[in-house]
Amino acid sequence: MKPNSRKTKKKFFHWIVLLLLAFILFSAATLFAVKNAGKLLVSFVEDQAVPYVLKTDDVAMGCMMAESLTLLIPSLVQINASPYKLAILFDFLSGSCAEFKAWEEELRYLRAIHNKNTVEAQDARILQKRYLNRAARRQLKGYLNFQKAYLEFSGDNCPVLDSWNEEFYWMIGLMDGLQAVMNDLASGGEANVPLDISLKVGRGARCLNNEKWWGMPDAIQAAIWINFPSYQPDGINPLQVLDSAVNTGLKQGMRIAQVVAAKIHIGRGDAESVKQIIRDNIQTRLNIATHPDFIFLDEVASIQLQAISDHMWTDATGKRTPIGAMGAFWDDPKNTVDTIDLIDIL
Amino acid sequence: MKAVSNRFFNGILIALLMLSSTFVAAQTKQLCVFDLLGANGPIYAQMKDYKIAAMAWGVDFRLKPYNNEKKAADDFKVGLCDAVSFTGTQSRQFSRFSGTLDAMGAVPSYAHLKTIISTLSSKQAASLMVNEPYEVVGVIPIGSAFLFVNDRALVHEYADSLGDFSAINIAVMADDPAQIDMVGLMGTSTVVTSIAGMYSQFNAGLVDVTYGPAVVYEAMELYKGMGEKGGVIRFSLAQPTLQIMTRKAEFPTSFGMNSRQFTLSQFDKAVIRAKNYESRIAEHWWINISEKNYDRYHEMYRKARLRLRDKGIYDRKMLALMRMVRCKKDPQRTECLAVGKE
Repeated sequence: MKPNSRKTKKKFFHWIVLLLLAFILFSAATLFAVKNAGKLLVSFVEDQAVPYVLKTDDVAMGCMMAESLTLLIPSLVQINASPYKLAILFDFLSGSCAEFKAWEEELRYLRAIHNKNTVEAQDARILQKRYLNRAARRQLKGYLNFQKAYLEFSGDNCPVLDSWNEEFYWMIGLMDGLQAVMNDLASGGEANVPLDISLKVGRGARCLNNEKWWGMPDAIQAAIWINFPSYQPDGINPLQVLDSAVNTGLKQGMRIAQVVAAKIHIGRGDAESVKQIIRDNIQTRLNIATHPDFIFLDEVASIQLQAISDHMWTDATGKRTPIGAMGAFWDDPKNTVDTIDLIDIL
Repeated sequence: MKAVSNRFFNGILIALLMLSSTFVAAQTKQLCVFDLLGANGPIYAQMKDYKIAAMAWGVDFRLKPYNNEKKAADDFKVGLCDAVSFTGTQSRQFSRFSGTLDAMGAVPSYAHLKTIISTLSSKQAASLMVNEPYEVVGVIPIGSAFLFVNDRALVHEYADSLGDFSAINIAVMADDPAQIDMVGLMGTSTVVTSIAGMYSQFNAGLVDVTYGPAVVYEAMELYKGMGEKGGVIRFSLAQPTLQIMTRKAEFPTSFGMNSRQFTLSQFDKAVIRAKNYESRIAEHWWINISEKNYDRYHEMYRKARLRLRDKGIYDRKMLALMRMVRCKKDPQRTECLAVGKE
């Protein structure tokens, strides 16, 4: 064999080895990237995107974003990520979108009743139940994702929640469960949401610090005690616990516990307390600024209270809260009008 | 002149008729609704649909939620509510006839219950649904009530040696004399409590037996009280119902009949819901009882009903109607030939 030919062969062999090495390295890097892309993506959304969104104030856009993306979130499992916590939030938000639609149908039902149009009222109730059913299904998925994200969750004891994120998704998961039960019951129970979620949520709320989470844990606990009085400890008045929970949130510029309180008072048929909560909400906005990191959540509270106000107004007058009248009610005492008798100058 | 006068009077007549029909259409009445979850609950949601139907019969209901059933009954009694929706047990103080619908062991299946409610919704039964000044204008099933036990062994003792269960604690509701009497008859210790405390006492192990429709199994986490040895006896202990009651004179004449027909049309839906909750109790919890014991249970409850009838707690006519339905569906039953028929 000629020396040149041997050299060429050697070179060729080196190139092959280099190519193979490069290929292996490239494959390993790709595999590494693919394997970690999911983790990176989830960690980016959890650590950067969600906190960013919580500082914004467009709830309607947040709802549409969740409705568009929720279906994709579980697929991140396929690239080695654990998207369950994100799914808790996205399911909750997309469930809320269906709830918004159900509220509109409730108002249509009330307007139809007001106009004595029974066919329209029946139609509105049918559509309302469909939307509530959709909300319940989405929120149940959120609750099931909550159980996957927190494998230790049994409803009886608390796992170690060692970061703000862990606690935040825990709270949203509890709300997923509670709302799923309520919406399923209101729509005829066809979403098959397990009813024991309520009591588990009540116990799960105890795992969070009430002060840190704007009174929400105590508000949820009070709701469970009121609906299941046999689980209420001796010497505790759940309505007082509720009031104190609401005040804990108000002091921090977070009014989300007011929604839980308003819903409890609606359940008890106590319209005056509901009105007072709405008045307080408007009043405290003038004095206490919203926590800048959680504007989105406070805005969710505003929208929910507006929906409650709209319900009360429509029930009484046939139309929703007039513009600029949030915090005022149709039966408020009228201001006395101060006039001059013109008889002497006419 | 006569024609003008006639036309004038006809005009007045038509105007009066229109006025009266407008008046009927505008009658606003307060319907007090018992639901453990108040206005957020499933019964209240059902009443929202009932409200729409009632508009067509000339009544515009204002719904008022109550999460305390006794309070709803008291407010109805003193006239704060024109109508009320509560359980049959609570209705007994206003109508012993309809309040006997939940008599123990009297209605073995939903098919029996449907025949009974269909009969009660017929024109022929209209007078039975009135106990002046009250009228029962609707009956909706809640779902069969079952016994939940914390030890399966109790079932065998219970079935095989009637009258010797002084060691078993059964929780019963304080405001239902039928339940208290029944438990007394069985010789078991009674822990008198409210519906609210009944299930938490079972879960805490303070009572051995409790009962209720399948919906409470999940909602009240009764699997905790049943533990490893307990279960649910596959025997329809009673058929609790939701009843709507009015103060008859304050409603249009045909309201009761219309309303009973409407609630009858909701029967199948209510049963599907009840069966759905029953299907959520896992198969391993169910305790099947032998045919022999099934007959013994029925005989025991039959005797108890007779005793409660004689004490004035259960209504004679309703018990007779329920016996007729049982015997129509199964003429071979021993009780159909018994001397002391209900």
